[in-house]
Amino acid sequence: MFLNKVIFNKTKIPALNAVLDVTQLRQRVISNNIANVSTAGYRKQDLRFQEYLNSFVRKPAVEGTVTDPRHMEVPQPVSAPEVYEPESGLNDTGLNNVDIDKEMTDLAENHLHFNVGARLLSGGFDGLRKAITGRSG
Amino acid sequence: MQIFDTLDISATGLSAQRRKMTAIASNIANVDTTRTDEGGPYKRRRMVMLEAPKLTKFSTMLEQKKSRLLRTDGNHMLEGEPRPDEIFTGSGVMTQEVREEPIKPRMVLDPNHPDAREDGYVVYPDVNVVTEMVDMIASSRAYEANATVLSAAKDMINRSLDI
Repeated sequence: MFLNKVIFNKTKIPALNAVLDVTQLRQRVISNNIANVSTAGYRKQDLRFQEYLNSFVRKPAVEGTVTDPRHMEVPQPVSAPEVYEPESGLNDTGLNNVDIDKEMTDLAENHLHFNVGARLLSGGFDGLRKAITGRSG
Repeated sequence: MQIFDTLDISATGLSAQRRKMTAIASNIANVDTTRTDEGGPYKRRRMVMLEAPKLTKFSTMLEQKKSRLLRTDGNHMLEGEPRPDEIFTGSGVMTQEVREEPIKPRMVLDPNHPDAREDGYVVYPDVNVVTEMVDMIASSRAYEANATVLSAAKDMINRSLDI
């Protein structure tokens, strides 16, 4: 959308949007690990997302415009976050490789990431609103 | 709905641990039961945890295609970027109940017992109270962990309403 391009894409809002999406998704992955803490033979999962978030921050050196369907996109489209199974040995129970302490730590960390993202995002919207209405508004 | 999926996952964990707790309670309550409907002493109930079947790639893709908007006119608005939340298809845990055949039933010599065998021994269930207690503690810790996840998820949803 044109308005999106002019107003929102110039701010930090798209990046923060991605932060919220990713943390929301990671929350699901971690809850699934914790729900399966006593499932025999379960393999824990995690989310690879750093590259995806980095792509919002790092500005490409060259940016191309696609005017023909045969054009290649420059820079290459960002790699979406992906779910993977980290390699690790069985835990103390011998049932599976879910380390409950690590999962709870990841959960707390992820929760804080989400809160930071949400707070910055509402700050971003406040700034935008102020820019539109002026200081008196 | 996408936003409540994470609550659903934790809920499956909570209810699985609760079912396990019910089985443990029943085992401890029936530690001396020598007579059951199906005959013989009580058989220990065990809850086996299984990973809930993942949503298939097909059904997720179908949902995505169904929710995609068609653009039949140049004046139509473009759809936003696809969101990265369709790639995780885990859906929690489920349980299956197994009645264990006794391996080493407790034999007590008590010829006056109404359920005594001809040789005077009474067969008691193969339930070890200590094992049940240990399982109970593990299960209640797992329940707490799931409850913590649930409240974190709830807090995240609440927080996103303040944006």
